[in-house]
Amino acid sequence: MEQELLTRIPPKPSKIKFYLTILLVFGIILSSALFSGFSIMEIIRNLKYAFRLIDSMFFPPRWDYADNVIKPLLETVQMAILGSFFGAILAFPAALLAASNFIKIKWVNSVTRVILNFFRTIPALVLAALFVAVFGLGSFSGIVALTIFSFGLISKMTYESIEAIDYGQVEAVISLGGNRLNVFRYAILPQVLPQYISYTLYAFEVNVRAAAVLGYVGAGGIGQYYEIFLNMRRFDFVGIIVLISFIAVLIIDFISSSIRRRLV
Amino acid sequence: MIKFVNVNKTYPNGTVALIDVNLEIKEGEFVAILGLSGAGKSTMLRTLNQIIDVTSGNIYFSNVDINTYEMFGDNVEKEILRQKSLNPEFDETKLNLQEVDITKIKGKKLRKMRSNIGMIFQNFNIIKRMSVIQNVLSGRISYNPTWRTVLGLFPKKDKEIALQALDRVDILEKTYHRASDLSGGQMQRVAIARSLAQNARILLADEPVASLDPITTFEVMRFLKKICNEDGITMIANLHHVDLALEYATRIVGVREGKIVYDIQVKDKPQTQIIKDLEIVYGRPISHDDFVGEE
Repeated sequence: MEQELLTRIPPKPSKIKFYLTILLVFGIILSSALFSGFSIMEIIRNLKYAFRLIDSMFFPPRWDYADNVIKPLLETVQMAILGSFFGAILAFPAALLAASNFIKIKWVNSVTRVILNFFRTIPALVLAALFVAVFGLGSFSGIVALTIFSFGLISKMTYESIEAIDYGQVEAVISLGGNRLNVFRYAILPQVLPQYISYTLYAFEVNVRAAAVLGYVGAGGIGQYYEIFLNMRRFDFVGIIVLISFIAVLIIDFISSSIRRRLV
Repeated sequence: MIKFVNVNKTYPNGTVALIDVNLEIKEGEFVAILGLSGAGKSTMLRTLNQIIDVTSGNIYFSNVDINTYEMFGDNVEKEILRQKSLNPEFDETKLNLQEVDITKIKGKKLRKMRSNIGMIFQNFNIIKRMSVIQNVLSGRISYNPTWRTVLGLFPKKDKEIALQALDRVDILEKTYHRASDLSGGQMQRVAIARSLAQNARILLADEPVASLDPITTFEVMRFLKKICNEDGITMIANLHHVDLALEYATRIVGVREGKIVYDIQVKDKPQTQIIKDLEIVYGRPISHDDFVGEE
């Protein structure tokens, strides 16, 4: 290589930052393990109990008990459907308020976003426990909890989609003499509707899993059976519930992802 | 018909887009605005329909009926006749024609004025997920109550207007196609049809052919010229190519760094002289790249 060229090469960027980051990540993982008392030995020592548990849960599966599982499972799915549906309906107006290219008043956007973040912070299970205290035992409390949970999820993703739309179409509707509702109907809705539906279906998939444990706090669905049988240490019954829930989740994910694929 | 008086625009981020713009445009003119990117051409168009507000100055429209905010332009008699042909019950005795400063009005009045100012964009800005006819019908939104437009329930009369508009830009056979299935030139023709349905008296075209190939470029320019001539629409177009301006426009306005530095009627000077003059607009001699070329 020519000496002149060597002098013109920019200095090689230092890799120290990269190595430090890796070190930091490992440090965090290691210290988490230390603080929480995690140890590999503990796992190995108890492995045989784990196998014994799996054996009692699934070998053989208690298909004869399956009949009793179907009804609460359907109730769980219904809760998820209603929760996603009501959550989605509430989410759209909230997303519009949070989107800075639709409502151009900064404090309205910020306040809405803080409220949305607040709802997203509370786990669905805690929401359910709170609503059981308000509305009493039963699936109604679960549906309200899932509604709030889906609302937080869908509104956040939808407002980000609204902010990413092609603003030229908004200008076009304004230049036609359109008002805010016309802008919404002819510029924003056509652009975000497929994504919004996709987010709603995603929320539904998440809700089916979340709904399964809500019964633990008395908010309806299959969760109450988990609680009863775990307390009774009837792992064979727990096993069949897990198995059938798993099949249901597979079916639901398949349906919803094939709908989502068709949306784009 | 349109009068810019000392219009200035400075964006919140400090960019100065327009400096003391004074310009008078008569009804039926085809004004080509030339200038480098960032010279302020797009801002100038968008202040006209107040998509962008001005920092100071006024933009007057002559003979606006202050009951309906319909524009009657320079030739009031002719526009009254046209209105009567559109609506037999039209009553000219109720007209109250005044000069209106669009920078001073808001809300419903502003929206009514905008409905007489069509806009054509470089990226067409039609609604790709809707059908062609729905796109053209959206030109009628300011003539209908909001509930109708939100539900997409346009009266039969509006559908006729939309179909006629599609026929005029030769794309009637695509009426029920999804807009996303069209080619660029066809999308721009749908946008022109939308402006026709809107009953635009003024048409603003922001780089209308910049994303089209040369053949489609001439096709779209011809349609623009045709509808302007037939309907007496006043056209203001930001153009990239000097030869398009010379061929289609009646007047060329040159903008440089937010100021109008050139203004000429195309028929008043030989084209070679205008091309030479444009050096003051671009800050460099006009080159081969400033032409679309032969059709």
